[in-house]
Amino acid sequence: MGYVIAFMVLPVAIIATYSFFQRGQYGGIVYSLTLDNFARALDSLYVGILGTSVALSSTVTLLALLIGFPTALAITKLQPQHQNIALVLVILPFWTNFLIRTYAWIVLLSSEGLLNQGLLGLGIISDPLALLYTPGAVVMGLLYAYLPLMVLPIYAALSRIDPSLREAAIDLGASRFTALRQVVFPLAIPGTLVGCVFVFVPSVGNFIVPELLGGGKTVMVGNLIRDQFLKARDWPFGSVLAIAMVVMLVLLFALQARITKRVLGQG
Amino acid sequence: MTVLLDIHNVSKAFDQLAALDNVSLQIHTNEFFAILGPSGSGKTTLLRALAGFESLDSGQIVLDGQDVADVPPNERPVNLMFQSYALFPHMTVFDNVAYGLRREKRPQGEIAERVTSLLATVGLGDMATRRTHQLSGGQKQRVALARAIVKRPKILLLDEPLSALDRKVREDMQLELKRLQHEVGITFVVVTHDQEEAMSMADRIAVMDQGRVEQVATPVELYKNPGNPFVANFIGTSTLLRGHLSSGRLHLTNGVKVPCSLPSEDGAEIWLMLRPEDISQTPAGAITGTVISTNFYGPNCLVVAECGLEIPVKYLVGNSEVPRVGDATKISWAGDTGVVVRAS
Amino acid sequence: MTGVGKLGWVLAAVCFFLYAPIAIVIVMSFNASKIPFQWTGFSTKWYSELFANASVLEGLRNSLIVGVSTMILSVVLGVLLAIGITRHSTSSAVQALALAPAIIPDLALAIGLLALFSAISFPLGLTTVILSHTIFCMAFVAAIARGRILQIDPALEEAALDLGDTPRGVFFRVTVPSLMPAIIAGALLAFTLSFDEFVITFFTNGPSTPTLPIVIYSMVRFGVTPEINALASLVLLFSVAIVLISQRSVKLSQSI
Ligand SMILES: Nc1ncnc2c1ncn2[C@@H]1O[C@H](COP(=O)(O)OP(=O)(O)OP(=O)(O)O)[C@@H](O)[C@H]1O
Ligand SMILES: [Mg+2]
Repeated sequence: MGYVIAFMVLPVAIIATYSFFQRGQYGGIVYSLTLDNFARALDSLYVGILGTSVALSSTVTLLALLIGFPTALAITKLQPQHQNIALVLVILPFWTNFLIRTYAWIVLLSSEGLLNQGLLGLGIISDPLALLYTPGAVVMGLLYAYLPLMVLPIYAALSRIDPSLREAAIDLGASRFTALRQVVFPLAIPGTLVGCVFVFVPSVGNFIVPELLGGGKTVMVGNLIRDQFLKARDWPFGSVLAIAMVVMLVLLFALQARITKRVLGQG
Repeated sequence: MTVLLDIHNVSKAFDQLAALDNVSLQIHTNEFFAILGPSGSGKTTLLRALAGFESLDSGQIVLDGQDVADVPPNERPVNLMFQSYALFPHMTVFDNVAYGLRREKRPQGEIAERVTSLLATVGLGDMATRRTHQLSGGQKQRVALARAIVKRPKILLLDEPLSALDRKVREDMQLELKRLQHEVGITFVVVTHDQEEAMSMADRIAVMDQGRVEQVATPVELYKNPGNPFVANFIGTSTLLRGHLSSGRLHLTNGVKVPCSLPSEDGAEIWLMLRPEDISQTPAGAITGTVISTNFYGPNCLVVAECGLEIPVKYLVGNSEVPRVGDATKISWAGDTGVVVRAS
Repeated sequence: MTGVGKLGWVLAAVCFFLYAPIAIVIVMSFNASKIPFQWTGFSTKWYSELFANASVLEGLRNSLIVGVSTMILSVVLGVLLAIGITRHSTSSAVQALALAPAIIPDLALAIGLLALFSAISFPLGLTTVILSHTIFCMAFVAAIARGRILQIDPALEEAALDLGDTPRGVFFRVTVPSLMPAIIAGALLAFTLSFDEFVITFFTNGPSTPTLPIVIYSMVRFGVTPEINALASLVLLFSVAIVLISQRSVKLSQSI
């Protein structure tokens, strides 16, 4: 069944190699190899967009971590049969339509939206707040979309930790919190980093949320790539940005693997 | 002998199941105490209750005159060596052993000195900087032991400390545990389901079954005078026969009457426990049976024969007189051998 | 046990965060008012209007065509892929590569595919969408099937061969039936993924064959309407139902 493998891997391989080829070769412009596209990516305009994307995605990742870790920890404390239910509850929204989940936040955040209506009704504010079309709305939308991707790997990491390790720490004189800090946290680092990569990477590449919740005012790398392909029709440059995104993913995973090795030794 | 640990009428149930059922035990200072019982008999639950990880439904645990009910596990002067060792994989051997001392906020110098000398004692002097996954099973076991001992607890609790080791290492470690206990002068409470291990190491043994303590005694006493049929069956190899005692003769359930001069009241229903060496195979034997299996043990052979009694009879013969499976056999025993075990 | 209590609140709060926005959309879809944010009474009229909306129906039709085709293709290919990588390859690089489309950012995959189709001058349309969806859906199917294959005792197949079955017969009479729970779960998963997929469709689709997510996208860009609420509710419930069914069959596959 060797041919099966070849057949399956081929499309994947083509894409991988293609994204490296195309930089000077396709896009209807030039067929000669050039590094100009890479140089262009260092232009201050694009560096600025990259900076915004990284800043927003980092915020999203940090928030997802701060919410996701206690959530995952809470799930591990449930009884086994309840753990499965809680996991399904957390993941379920992730399997539903992304556009609709983003749309729900328009309903909540727009100036006639429910949040403003509620605050007005309670007399807390007198004029509607500009909630939608802000970087904050983008962060909220991305957090909402990708929180399950943080909870899942952290839960997997926590549930693999032998509970007797925590008890051993307590037996040796550590308080509950010290045991959590010195034994559970370090051992959960690998899974936590996976969660961070899982949230960070799609956040950087997302163009729907910045468009729908950021109103086009917050431009992220994802929007830039999309525009290079569908509007500016500058495919080589768009490819450079996309390759940068994939390279970043690979680098982040490599970093994750390194840190994991540091924490747990080679084991 | 002073009582260090007084376990008084302790009960603990999981859902409906009584894991500990009215357990009472007294453990003395500097004793090597073993808790022996089949799987699921509540041994681990008892140890975890002593360490503070299991709350009690009722009863008290008094350590050195103090009821420890309200003392959280991290403040009990008791340390537990986990069945799985529970070594911290993200720390070196040294850091694992130093963990408890650091929680006591001991000075650096003292920690280094105590850890180093203890590692040397358990034969791991040159392994201090290793990660735990770089150790063999026996080495892991020593680290776990050192980590639990280094705080000099009043009692060291060991949950099946040797069960993960292969036979040869296990025998070495049994001797070493004894030696170490002598050296550090700490009371050891060892849980095991291996009776040979308990017999060879412990000063006294508590036999547990289904959450109850069946008997507490020295190894010799347990072997010679089991307190009830369960202990008689569990400790060593034996044949337990039920019978009715009447004017110096025991009426067995197959109708055969054998002489019995053991001290017991006339007319009583008793259990007679016979060790394999108590029974001999002789043409003059009053009891006849059929051999169903033969098992060689060094110079002797353990023969199992069906004699129409409650259970097949087990007895030893020399290697020159081994019957064949299916042969008819005749056996007997002297009227003053065996032990009368009262039904509980 | 106050720690557990506090963590319990965290869990409840997170579930509220995850479900409240969705719940609000569903509630709003039954609002009689044309102004989306004022509740004037219960009504199902937006649902009936939805079913009269030609572009929605067109999108639904296209999405179903793509979803079912993708499901069939990705199950067949995904299962073969899973058998290939678990039974016939010891290289972890091959395994990682085969499952890669499930992990790499959808945008990168989308433009890679767009570039590929342009390079070979393949006209964009439902066919390209189906092919593209298949590439990443089969990676998910393969991941599920692989988990199941690793559980199955390889001696099962050897036993069947030993009893005189042909390799081909073994495949259809032993391998496929024992993979059945994973196949069902994978099929349902592939269908939902394809049905809800937007980014890859956005890049690899032609202009004349919009799928439902493309229709939703163009509607959503013009703001909040009760009709979108109704459409969103239906799509949500549909996905949830399929995911729950596939969860059940995964559980089934674990219990067998
Ligand atoms: N956390 C728990 N929840 C429910 N039941 C438990 C729990 N811990 C133990 N039990 C039950 O209590 C009984 C005693 O268990 P325990 O672990 O003390 O046995 P053990 O004597 O240590 O057995 P082993 O030799 O197999 O380790 C068993 O029937 C077990 O199933
Ligand atoms: Mg146990």
